[in-house]
Amino acid sequence: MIIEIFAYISVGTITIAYLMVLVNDFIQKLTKTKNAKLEKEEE
Amino acid sequence: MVSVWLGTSLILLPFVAALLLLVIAKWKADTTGLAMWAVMIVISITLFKTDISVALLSSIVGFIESYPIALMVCTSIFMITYMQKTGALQRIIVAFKSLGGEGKAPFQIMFINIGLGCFLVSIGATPVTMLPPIMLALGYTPLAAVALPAIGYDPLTTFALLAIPAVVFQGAISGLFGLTPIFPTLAHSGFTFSLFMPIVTTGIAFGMMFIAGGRKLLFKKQSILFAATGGITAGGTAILVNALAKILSMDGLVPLTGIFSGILTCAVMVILAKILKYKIIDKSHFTNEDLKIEQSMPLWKAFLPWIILVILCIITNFIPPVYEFLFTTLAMKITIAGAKPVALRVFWNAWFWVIVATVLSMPFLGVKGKIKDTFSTWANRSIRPIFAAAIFFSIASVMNWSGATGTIGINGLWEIAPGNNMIEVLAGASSAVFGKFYPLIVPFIGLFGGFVSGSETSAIAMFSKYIFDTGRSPALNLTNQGIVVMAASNGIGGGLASVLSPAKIQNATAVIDKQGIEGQVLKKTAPIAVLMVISVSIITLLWANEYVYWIWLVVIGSIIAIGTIAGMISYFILRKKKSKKENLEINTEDQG
Repeated sequence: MIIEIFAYISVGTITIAYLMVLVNDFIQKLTKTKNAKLEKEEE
Repeated sequence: MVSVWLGTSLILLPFVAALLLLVIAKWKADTTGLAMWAVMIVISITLFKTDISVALLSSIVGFIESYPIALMVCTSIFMITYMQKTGALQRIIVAFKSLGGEGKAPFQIMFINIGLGCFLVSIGATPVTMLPPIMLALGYTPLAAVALPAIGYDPLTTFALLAIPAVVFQGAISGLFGLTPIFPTLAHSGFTFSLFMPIVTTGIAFGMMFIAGGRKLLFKKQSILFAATGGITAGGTAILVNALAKILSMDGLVPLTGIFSGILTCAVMVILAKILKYKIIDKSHFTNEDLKIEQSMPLWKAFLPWIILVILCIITNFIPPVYEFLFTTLAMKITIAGAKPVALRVFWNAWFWVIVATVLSMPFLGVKGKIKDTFSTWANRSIRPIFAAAIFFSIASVMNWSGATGTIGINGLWEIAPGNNMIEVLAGASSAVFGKFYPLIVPFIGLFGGFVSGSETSAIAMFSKYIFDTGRSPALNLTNQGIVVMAASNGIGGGLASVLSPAKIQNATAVIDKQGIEGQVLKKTAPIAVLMVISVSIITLLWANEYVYWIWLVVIGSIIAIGTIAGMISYFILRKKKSKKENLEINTEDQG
């Protein structure tokens, strides 16, 4: 039983960590595009 | 019941789409896998009438089944990051940088990627995460630095992780035969696999020369010499070890195949380099920084994590009571609903010992100020490759359990509605199309399985029963040995898929911070893998059907003739281009 719980927790942890990385990358991409746009406008 | 053709088209569609996403849209392997998994879930539920809970739970099962590989990716990235932060990796890179000196690319390529690659993969380490930084430092392009280690150990993947694919193969096939005495034994299985090796290893060796320097490097005398010698040595050693195991009935020798092949290939390459009067250790091109790194620590210290890992792997695998305790007593089997139990074997799997080896080397390599740095870099690098490895196992598991109604049968497994299983539908379509020539497509089925799951082991697990049943069908009516040959070639195809596996390529790109070049690597390596699979499929057809010798001679002779003609045409085109270029240069100089 303990091993099964460990297995489920590990699957959840990896998936959540991965989704966090995806969201983080997405936000960074958005910020980059926004900054580039602002720079262009300033020019 | 699902229509064979509609079902086949819909199953293959996500795979074609995934290839396009990787190669053309330049998506990363993990996001491609995630999209593929979502599409597979939808197809599995709607067309193949899979119960929703089965589709989701089987995804979790696949995820857990990937742990021997996914966690190996995770821990080996940790180990290599720690070695980088402590300067050990740089020290090793400088040591390898001195191998053969500048302009000795064929020697370096064969020694590092085939010799060292086979050795590393056989002890459970991953060349795709360890060798790219070395190749990059030696001056190869990022593309070659990723592609060469990824393709180098491919032929011997069957003997990777102390021959786990061969062990799984023997368990699956002998279980299907159900014969007493056991048929095939591990030695018999290993020997069957090994007979494919010389052709595949030599082909891959030449392919590597092409990847590194195009036709120019491929047709160099040294390249031909090193590729032919290295390929035959690696493949020949595999045959020798497994033949010995078969003759002496010593199954325990089979897991040593990769270690012997790797060490012998390295040794033969050094001997050949000596004969050619290469300066094996050439430090003349070292920069001041290289010399500084060389003096920073002794080589044994830099190698310590790997030395400890080898010792731990030997202890856990070659001392029978230790092996038995870790493998059987501590199998840690878990059962999720109606899926087959999954044995975690935390304390036997190589990934666990990678952590132990890294921790044990810490007192020697240092911890102050390095651990925090290691963890932050490792966290950045590892999550995507780990998920990529796992999600492809989930896709394979969804395919395997498609058509399950959600009811658990008396054998404790989910019941699958006849005609509603993706693997069954694919099998039906392929045997309907190829009939008696079915052995020709078996390695491609393995390639397909290996691409989906990123592992030869799961390609074997996925398709062995299907191949066994088809081999026994009246249409083929193969002998027992013919079936073993066919099933083995499925495994070889799965092994050759390593270089096409987005998850594995992503591991390599991650360690050199070049994520996003996966598609370019695929473009270079895919033709070589496909060419090798074609060779394997021809051998499988001849061998499985036990054709008479003159048919073998005619077919193999024709292939060699076609290959030679193609090579000659290519060589003359190259020469013509070269002389044209030279003429142009002379004309320009004259005009000047």
